[in-house]
Amino acid sequence: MLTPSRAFTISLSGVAGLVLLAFVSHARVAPRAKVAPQAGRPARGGPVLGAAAVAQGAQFSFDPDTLVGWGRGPVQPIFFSHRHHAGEYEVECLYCHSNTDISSWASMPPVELCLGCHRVVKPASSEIAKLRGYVERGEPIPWERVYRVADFVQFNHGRHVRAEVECQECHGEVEEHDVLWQWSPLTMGWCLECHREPGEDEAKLAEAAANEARYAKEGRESYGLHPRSIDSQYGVLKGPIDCVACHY
Amino acid sequence: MSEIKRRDFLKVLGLTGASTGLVGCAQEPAKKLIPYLVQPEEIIPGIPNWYASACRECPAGCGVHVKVREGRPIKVEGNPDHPVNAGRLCARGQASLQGLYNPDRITSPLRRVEGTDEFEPISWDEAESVLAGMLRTMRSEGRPDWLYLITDGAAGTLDRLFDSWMGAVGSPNRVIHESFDVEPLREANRLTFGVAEIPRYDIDAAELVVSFGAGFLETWVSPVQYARLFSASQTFRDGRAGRFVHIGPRLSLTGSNADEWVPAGPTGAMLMALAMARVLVAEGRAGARGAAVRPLVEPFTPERVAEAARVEPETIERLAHEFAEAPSSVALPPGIEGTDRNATAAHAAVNLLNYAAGNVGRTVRFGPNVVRRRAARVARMQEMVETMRGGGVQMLLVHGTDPVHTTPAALGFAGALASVDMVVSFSSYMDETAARAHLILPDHTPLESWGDHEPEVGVRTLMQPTTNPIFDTKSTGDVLLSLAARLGGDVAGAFNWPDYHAYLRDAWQAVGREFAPGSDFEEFWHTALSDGGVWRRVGTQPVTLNPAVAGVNFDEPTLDGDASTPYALFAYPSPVLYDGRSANRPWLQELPDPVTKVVWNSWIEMHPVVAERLGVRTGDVVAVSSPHGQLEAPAYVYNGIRPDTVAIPIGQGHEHFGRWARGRGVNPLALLPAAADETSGATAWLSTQVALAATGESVTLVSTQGSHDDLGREIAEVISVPAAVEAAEHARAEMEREPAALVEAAEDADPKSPYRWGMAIDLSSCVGCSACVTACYAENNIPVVGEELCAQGREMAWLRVESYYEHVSEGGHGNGHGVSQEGEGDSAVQHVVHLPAICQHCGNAPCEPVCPVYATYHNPEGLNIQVYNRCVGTRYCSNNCPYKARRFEWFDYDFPFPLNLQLNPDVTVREKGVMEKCTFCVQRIMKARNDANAEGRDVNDGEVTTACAQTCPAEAIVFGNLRDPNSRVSRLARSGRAYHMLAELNTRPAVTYLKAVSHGSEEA
Repeated sequence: MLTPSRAFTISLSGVAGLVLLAFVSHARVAPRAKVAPQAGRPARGGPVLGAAAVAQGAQFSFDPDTLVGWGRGPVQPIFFSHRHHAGEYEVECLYCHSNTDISSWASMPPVELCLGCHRVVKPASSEIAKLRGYVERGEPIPWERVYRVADFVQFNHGRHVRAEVECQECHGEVEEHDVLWQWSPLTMGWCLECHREPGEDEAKLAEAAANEARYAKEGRESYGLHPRSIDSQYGVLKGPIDCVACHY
Repeated sequence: MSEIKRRDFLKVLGLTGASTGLVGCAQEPAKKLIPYLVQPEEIIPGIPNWYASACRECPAGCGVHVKVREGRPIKVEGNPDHPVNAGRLCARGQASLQGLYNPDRITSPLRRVEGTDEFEPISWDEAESVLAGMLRTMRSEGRPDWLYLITDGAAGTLDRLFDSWMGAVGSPNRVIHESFDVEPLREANRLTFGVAEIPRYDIDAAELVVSFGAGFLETWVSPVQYARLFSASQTFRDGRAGRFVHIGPRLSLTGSNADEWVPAGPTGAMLMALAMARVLVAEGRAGARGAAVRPLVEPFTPERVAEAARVEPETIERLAHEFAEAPSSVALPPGIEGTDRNATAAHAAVNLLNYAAGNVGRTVRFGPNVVRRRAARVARMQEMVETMRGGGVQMLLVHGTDPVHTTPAALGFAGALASVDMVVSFSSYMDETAARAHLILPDHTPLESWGDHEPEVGVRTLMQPTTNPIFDTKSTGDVLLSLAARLGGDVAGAFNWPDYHAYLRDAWQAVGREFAPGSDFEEFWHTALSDGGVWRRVGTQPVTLNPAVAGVNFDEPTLDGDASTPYALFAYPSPVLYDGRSANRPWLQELPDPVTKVVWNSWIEMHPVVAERLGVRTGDVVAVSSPHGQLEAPAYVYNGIRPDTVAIPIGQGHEHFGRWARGRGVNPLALLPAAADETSGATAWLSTQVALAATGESVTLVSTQGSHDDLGREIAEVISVPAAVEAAEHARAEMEREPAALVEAAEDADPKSPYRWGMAIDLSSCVGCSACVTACYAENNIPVVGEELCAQGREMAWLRVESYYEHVSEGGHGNGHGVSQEGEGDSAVQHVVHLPAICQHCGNAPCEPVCPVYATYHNPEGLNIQVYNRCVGTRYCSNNCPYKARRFEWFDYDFPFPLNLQLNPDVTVREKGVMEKCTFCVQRIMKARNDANAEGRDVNDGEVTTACAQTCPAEAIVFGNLRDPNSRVSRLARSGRAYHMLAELNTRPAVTYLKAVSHGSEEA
């Protein structure tokens, strides 16, 4: 079983502390959250330059405080390059963001993991010195958050990784970026665009088409619910389009 | 004078409005992403860990599993393997999280600023050196007996550490104070059977349960365990259901589950038990046992006791006959509130009845006894108070108990504290005793502590920290060990452990030798930690009648007062606040009292006849005075109490104890004398009479249920046993004809969905304890709104337990309960049905079509979904819901730090302007689906359950898939007793209720 449900663990001298304070924010849900204008799925080619995109009437919201936006990422406490690690050295995403295939959250690597390599790899670099500084002071690194879904969205990473959705489908070609920036708009329309794509099971697709035809002919009275909702849930579509799949 | 022009005024208003709007906006989203420095091996962010521990909210000692997300405990559930509670937990256990995360906790050691009521924080080192200094002086002056230690009565390693520490320091003055002790029972057992123990009552094996008042479903001994056993006996199953007779002046929560209520006089229990035993003996139904019992009970004929017990002699005879004829029976003793000045005799009388009926050794079993330290006699407490007044106590240590609040005011404990040089409280909260202390050394709460507990013989529960300490607190065990080290010499030598964890492990070496002889200790320790402890079966210990029982004096106890104080005062433990130790948990303050449904307050229960005499109605303030004190409390007019008795719950009336408890309600201990049961020395809760007078004032007594009458709408249904048998037959025939028949229409869920989630609630099991309500609060981030908003009907509980007083229908025996003293007024109480009401997840839901923004809709799995981010708050859905299941967030409610750490990360925290309601714990369904999906299968029956069903001590709630004809829920939904609430509206609910079953009164 991939997800240990009740994994009993024995506490040693008190379990680990409340380190991830910012990781789970219990900010309240804004019921009428500002929905950004929908962005089309960007082409896989080179990203449009941030400034240009903004000038042309931004495709989605832009936060000047953290510089999260099209083509621009925030200034991070350590100049960490995904291009360097995931691109040039081909480190697997899950090596650092471990357990993302079983947890609803994508984990952030603990500082100790970074040092695991960097005790021997490039110890003289000024950025690694910063890293060692954090370790010596016993401080976690206050990374700037780049991707964030609203609090009323229950997004499950593990489910997507297990369904073989590539990390890049949502996070872009991370291995080509020195600075990580929010590549996708994270709007509901953008999520649904993928969820609504037909699945790959030919038999189910044929059945769905037949249902659709029957529904069109007989209507709800004799058929029941609209076949669309059925299909979304049970395999004809790539993902569910039932509201409660993400909102509860 | 410049007048403000209307236009300007509007402009200002607009600006203010805008800024208010800003303040009301959503909180800032988190902008930082903080990783672990070193990630603990067992933690995967996003996946909960479960730790086994013990619940310490009352002395029962249930085993728990604590759900921990990223280092924060967010939910407490019963440990399914634990012999005491078998996976279930009561409301107080669920609310233990609000003890851990209470914003009014003491955050560091405090020292009183000389001559004031203020405290200043000090360091642990300083606090301990002050204490060690004083102890050293006392010892060097040869007066270590000036040190007193007062603690609760829990048995375990800490208790033994207290004993040996006091021994090493040289003081003999360890006092054990347990508010609701069971010493009369222990003493009666010593006198009757020669065994000073608290036996196990096998209620599950009894077809007839006769209780002489014990609140065994609320506070007595081990309520979660007894609720489980009781429901095993009482639930209608295979054509039979147990019968329960409640004897006592008040229809308590426990009594409300009775088939018959015999409203005996306040001190009538003993006489009734004796007279019943006499009938058995006199009629030769006690067999060989009769000869020994006969001389003891000879004088107590039903005719003779009838007047004093205030019960008809025929009733006594009939009950005695039923008791003898039942295939199995058990009689339970008077409870805490029935402890009068001769309570030991009353307990002995019940023992004799059980003995005469042959129950001892069968349904009353010694052997698996409850383990509890002997509580100090009231006389010992008085002696201690005298010594304190006389300056003979220099240092008083108080741990695990709040004597100022839980001893009768007449004892004078609070006043005597002023004569003690150094009062040290180990309390985690500013309770009444801590507020009078000189030094407060806050202990960890149980969820942060190492520890153990021995609830029963053969059961050792282990406790482990489920989180790092939230504040700068220190375990009392550690403080004692560190004090010992500071004292040096022989004391330090006696305690050679670095900390309490090491001490505990060492103590468990012996447990290991007992439970797993020959095994490796490390292995044993790890297994015990992950299992939550160790336990084994304990055999029944045979007992015989003890000749000493002849010496028991069965005189009727006296109550203080005279003709000017005509009402007996029944001060009873609150089923939700216990002795008041839970009063600072907002979930429990907002949890409606299971009987009166009143929230956030105290009240005085009185019979309608009394209310009429005084000219008061519910909510009118009544002045209550006893020879020992007086107080004022709002009246609650209640049919379920005798006209010669009034009742006030214990638990409220705190002057301190944090923002939620302070200044709320009254403490009936202000009215009580420092009286004791003469034989056992336990506090006599039933010891005085009171006078009542209307004050002319009135308050709003906030009750969440407007009426206990369903006005013939068949919301709650009760049928007689024969009717239930007939219905079951009919259902069986139906099933044979069409075995695969589904209980719901295809349209209720998508035809292709393998699931339609549904619930079955058996009203013959539900005891009304309301544990489910609190579990729902904990699981679903439900805010607490306070008394004022409850009064406006704005409470947020998704699940409420309604009580209806019903007539038994279809050939039942009619009205079973009733008090009609003095022939005044119609005061009959019928069978009480407790009905957990939630969103019914209707297949044809009235709320759905009226939503203008599609925020509520029916999902393919039959759930009625509420999408918070779509909701614009028109509340049309709520107006259209016939079940009153929907709740509206009228405001942004606070979760003051650190209460916010308890929030379940898998459930959205709703904001002002959003409608919400029961989701069938959709987050749990999602998790189960996700787990099943990872294995490429469907969700199995029993794999997912809701928080309410999980905790239900009576196992009344079953959740599952109605599409699966073999699931437990769909089998129950096809039961002959199944019905849908307000079925005539054709809403096709996914919640099926099973009708309550009543024997009614046999006499009708």
